[in-house]
Amino acid sequence: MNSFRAFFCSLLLLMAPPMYAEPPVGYPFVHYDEGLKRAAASGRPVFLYFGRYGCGYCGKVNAETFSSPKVREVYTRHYELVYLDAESGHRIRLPSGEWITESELGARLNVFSTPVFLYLQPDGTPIFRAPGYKTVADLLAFDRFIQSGAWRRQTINEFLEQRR
Amino acid sequence: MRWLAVAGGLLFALPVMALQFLPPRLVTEVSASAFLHLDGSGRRLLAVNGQAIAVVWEDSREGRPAIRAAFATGDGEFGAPQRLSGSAPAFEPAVTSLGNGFVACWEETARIHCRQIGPEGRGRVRVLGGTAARQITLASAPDGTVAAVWAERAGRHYRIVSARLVADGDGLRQRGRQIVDATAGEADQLYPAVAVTRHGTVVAWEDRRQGATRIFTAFAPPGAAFGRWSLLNDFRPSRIRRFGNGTGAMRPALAGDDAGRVSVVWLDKRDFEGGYDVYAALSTDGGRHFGHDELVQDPLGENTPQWHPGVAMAPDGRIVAAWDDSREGTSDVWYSERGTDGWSDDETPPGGDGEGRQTHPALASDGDGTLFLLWREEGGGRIRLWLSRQRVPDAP
Repeated sequence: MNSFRAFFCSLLLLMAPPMYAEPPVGYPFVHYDEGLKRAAASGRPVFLYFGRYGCGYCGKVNAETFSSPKVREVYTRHYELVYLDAESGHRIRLPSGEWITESELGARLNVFSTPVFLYLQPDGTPIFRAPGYKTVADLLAFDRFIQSGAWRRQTINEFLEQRR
Repeated sequence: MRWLAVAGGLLFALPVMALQFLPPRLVTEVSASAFLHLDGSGRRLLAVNGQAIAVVWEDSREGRPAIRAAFATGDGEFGAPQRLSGSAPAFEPAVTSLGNGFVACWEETARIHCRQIGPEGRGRVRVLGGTAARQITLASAPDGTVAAVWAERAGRHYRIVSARLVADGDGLRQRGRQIVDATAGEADQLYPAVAVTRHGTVVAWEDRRQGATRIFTAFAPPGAAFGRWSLLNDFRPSRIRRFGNGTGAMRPALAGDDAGRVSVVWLDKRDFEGGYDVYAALSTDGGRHFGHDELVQDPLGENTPQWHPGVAMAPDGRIVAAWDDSREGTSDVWYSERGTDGWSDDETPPGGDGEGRQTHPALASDGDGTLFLLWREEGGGRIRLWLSRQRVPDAP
């Protein structure tokens, strides 16, 4: 890296606020293994949040969407909440018994842009995925899709179209 | 003189012999009811020493994840796998040559375990590191030792630790342990890679001190401590006002050659809409300085995320990178060779594409400059490891 680019990058870093992509504050997000264990016991679906350290849209969705008291109330009540870092080497255990890293699960699920939200059945079977920034209205609509059981009959797009 | 000009033109028009690989040989296989992983920091998963080839991996054929090795000598057929790890689950191995054999290391019970290995047997296990440690990577050094670099917990965070391993009877001795960089503060340093040349030792790692995962490097002349870190990868600042710290990069891999040149590859998300890309940088002074970032994969791979990049350098300086991506629907193994005009069009080795999922490539070179490409294939109820050898011009 030449000195000009190093200077430029350092300047950008100085200008960047120290806001990291972490699980939203005030939610009981847990590691994957723990979340799947809790789901097996409770029978509740899993809401899986794939973030990335330093991810801008993760910070934005945390600040603008997960700050909603309604989202917090609904998602805390209806789901086992799991947070995964798409670049992490933290090792998790899949329902099959296989040990892999969080980033390797991301590679298998083709999580190449963050955030990505996945809804899973209590046994870990995927229901659907919602990539990218989401609003409060989006997350509440997704919740209705899951909680009503509509996901067993139609796709998320069909569900949303029907409700327009 | 006209004929001379025509002949000269024809000579320059001759296609450069592109790197090709021979049909692969089976290293090992398990039923898909077991798990088999070909993953480790720096992707040092095969090594060549003279006529002997060593491959290491993790699988659960006996129930728990264990580290195994297989060796090929002479005819190139791999023998039965040897179990290297103990009874506890073990992960993320690395291998390199030492003396007439090899050294393998892995993570077990949150410690780094190492032993000398070879077709004839295994040495005693040596445990490195006093606290939680993981993500070991290895490189053979010109002085006959092995550079071992890993991530070790210090307080609340991981730091990169370097040491040398030397043969000591049927075991290994550790010497010259040092923290590569102690300035990260409240941030993790993870997934190191290492290369050793006549100029010294270079280590690359993932560093999170800047609020996103970035690739840092540090260089140590022979027998000296590591100098100050350098930021390796360019990145894009966040496009969203008030949020984020820019694009990330991860999983560096390093290789060096006899002249002291070093190449590094990594996954880079600066073009985040297409997912991770493979980027590379080159050094002509053993890793003290690196040149500009270079995009490795060709435009046909632009809209597909790349995963699991590895790199090898032949002793004469030829550089090859390999990775997997799904540009043709399912995961295939791809490679590219760096020429004077940059990185070549991407190719797949025989058997590296098609039905099933071909993933997790790793590369190595032997002392004569023949390149070897290893990968994992899952399909038809089996998981297999395949090893392909470079097709040498004029060879059958």
